[in-house]
Amino acid sequence: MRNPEAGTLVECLFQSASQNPDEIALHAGGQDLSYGGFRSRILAAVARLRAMGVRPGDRVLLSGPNTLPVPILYFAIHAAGAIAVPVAPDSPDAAVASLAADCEARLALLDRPLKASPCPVESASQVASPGAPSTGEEATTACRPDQIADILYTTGTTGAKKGVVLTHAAILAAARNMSEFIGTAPDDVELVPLPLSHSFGLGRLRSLALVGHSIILEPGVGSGAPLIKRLRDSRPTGLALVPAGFEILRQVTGNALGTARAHLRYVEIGSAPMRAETRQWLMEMLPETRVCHHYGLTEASRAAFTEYHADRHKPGTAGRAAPHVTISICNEALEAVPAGQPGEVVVNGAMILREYWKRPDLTSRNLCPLGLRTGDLGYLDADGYLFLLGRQNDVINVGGRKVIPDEVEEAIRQFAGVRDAACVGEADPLSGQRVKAFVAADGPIDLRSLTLFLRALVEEYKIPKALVAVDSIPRTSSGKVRRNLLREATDG
Amino acid sequence: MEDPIHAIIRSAVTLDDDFAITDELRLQEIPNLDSLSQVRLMTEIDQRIEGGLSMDEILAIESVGQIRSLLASRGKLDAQP
Repeated sequence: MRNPEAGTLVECLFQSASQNPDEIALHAGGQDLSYGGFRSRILAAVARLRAMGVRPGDRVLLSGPNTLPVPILYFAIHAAGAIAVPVAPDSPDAAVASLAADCEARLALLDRPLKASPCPVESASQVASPGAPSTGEEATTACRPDQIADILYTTGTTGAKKGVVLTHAAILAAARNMSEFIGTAPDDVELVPLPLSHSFGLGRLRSLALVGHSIILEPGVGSGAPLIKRLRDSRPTGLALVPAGFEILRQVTGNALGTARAHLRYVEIGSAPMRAETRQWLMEMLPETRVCHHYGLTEASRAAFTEYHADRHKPGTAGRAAPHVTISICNEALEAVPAGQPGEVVVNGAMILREYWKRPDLTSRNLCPLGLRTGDLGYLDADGYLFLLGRQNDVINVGGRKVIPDEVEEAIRQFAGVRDAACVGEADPLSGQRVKAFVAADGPIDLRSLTLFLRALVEEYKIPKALVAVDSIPRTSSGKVRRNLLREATDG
Repeated sequence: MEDPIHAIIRSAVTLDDDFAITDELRLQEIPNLDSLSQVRLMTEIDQRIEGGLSMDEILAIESVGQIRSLLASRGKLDAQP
């Protein structure tokens, strides 16, 4: 790790640029960007942001594909002392506008028009383009460890998104914890086909700033074959991928991943559990590679890690607490319980959120003396290994992306003729789960029409892939959906 | 009768009725064709070809026309729409 003493990731990045300006930091969209070039582009963007009126503490929404503008602007926003609000590039306009309004964004950096935007919209590509820089000294003093770095919006238990507020100290701590476990080194070259708007992909970018290695950004997994080709052509030493990505590789390309064992030193996996048989397959494909799977939340990035080979004697574990993290299992009174006893998983460390944006109720509910309440159920064994037992709520996990049924149900109810709707997760061999909708309507509803309607309201991965017509949705006397009955009907 | 290639594509991803599929259309230009939809598409094609698709063939599929040519070369389709 190059810069262990820096207080913020931007400082780390700028130190790497001073020490090794010619080394490649990023490869994206067919272009290479050296650390020196990275710093220059960041400083040029800082100058533009300031000229646009962005001041320290302002929220700046950022959205785009895995090309150079997004990482440049992410760190430029930090260097300007402002707060980055990353948003997935496939979010519908209404969702983006809603987040911009909630965080009272000063500016949105996008490369697409945004209907009904509550703030000015500027082209991300243009703001990130090469140009006259701001001075380095001004850029770094605007950014302190105790200041807010990011607001990451994540799904809430009732459908409304909640803004997770992370300080510069927290994101630096998360980067340190993961790098310490995984062992990323400055001479590593890592392939990242993950969205940079989500905690997993963003974490790899933060790791870049800390460690000073190189990242190849890919647009995604695609059909699987392009990723195999990239692995063969570039021979990276690291790879970050969600479990659904490995399922795709296995289904489409068979054992082609095995050729990567010659150069892959480490793999990081996250966002969802891995099926046992795919975990076994991966261990066979990469027998000498450190295969690291993290457990964490947007609120508490990389809270625990398992390394598949080292932990083969603990099948099903989510791993042990990451370096500098503590994990407790608590009862309903939020008291820690002994090993072997189940309860709510509570994590603590310097990487956890400071608060939820404008939600003191959630903050006081989810932050307790032992740390952050995750909402996950689990237990610790006598060796400190965490085993998860499920979620306390009804979150559906589609390829690592969380879906709250309430949000999709509300959208479905807006479709003509629908009286009521409920959604549950259904097993899917590639994505882990997919959304299944039960719909009570005045007449027949076909899935295709519903899909086209929902696209304007929710992201693609939230759209149901299965539809069951019912006379009515089973509810409790207080009106809550009896999802357990629907799940039982689904699971058979 | 719908073009069989168009039917394969529409089975993998839901498209607006008025979205025109042409042989010149590149896969990356098809709306909402995410990774999972691409896998469904490749699986549909794979199932029509005896022996399945090789990785090089998967990589070579960049447009609708190339899907057509591939299936035609394997005797599974007329070369012309």
